[in-house]
Amino acid sequence: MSIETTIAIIQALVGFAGQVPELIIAAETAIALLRSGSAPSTEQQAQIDAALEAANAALQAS
Amino acid sequence: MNNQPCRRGAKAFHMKHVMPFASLLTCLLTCLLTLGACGTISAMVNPVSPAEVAALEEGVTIADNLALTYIRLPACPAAAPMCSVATTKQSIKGYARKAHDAVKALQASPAYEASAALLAAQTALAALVASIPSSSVASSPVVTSPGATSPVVTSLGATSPGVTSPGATHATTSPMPAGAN
Repeated sequence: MSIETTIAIIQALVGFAGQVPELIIAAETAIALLRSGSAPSTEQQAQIDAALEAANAALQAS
Repeated sequence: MNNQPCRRGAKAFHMKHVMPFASLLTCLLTCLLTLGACGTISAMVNPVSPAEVAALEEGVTIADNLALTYIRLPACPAAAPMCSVATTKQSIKGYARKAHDAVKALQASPAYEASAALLAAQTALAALVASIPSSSVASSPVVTSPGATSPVVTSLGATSPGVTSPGATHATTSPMPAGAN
């Protein structure tokens, strides 16, 4: 149930981000993680954490 | 008199046959309880998978990038094709901060709080998504590394109620619950 909710939210974001390849790839990665249920690798998790922090910092600083 | 050998025999029988059975039963019950507990412990230790946490992180990152497009529009009123309303920008930032904090709280949450933390993170992300004026995201600048942005697409589609033209009344209405900021 919670996985489906998260997938629905991310798919809504994909609808938003229709022309931005980087965001589409990020969304596909997220959905693939959810559907496989496999934990991201340490490196992948580090990238995800860094991207989140960078985006949050940029947004709050704007 | 003759009870003594009988008692000894009963005791010996008890020690030889009943006790091992009792031990076996105890062992079996212990194993079953342990196995049952393993399932319970597994559910308690990992009620929210790392994949779910990572996916929510990705979701907040995407939403943040989409929100940047609106945030970076010239402030209304401006001589630009589109502009952003200061109060909407502040609301988006508030939602973005809450979504970021909710995902971080989910990452750090103990097992017994993880389900509630997951729900909170999903709700915060949905609220952030809802707060972003929809058509402002077509030219989303993607933040790829700390401090760096890359404008990916520069053309915008049709305007939306959230992206206002200079001189227009500020019709930006974001579906924000009270206490967004």
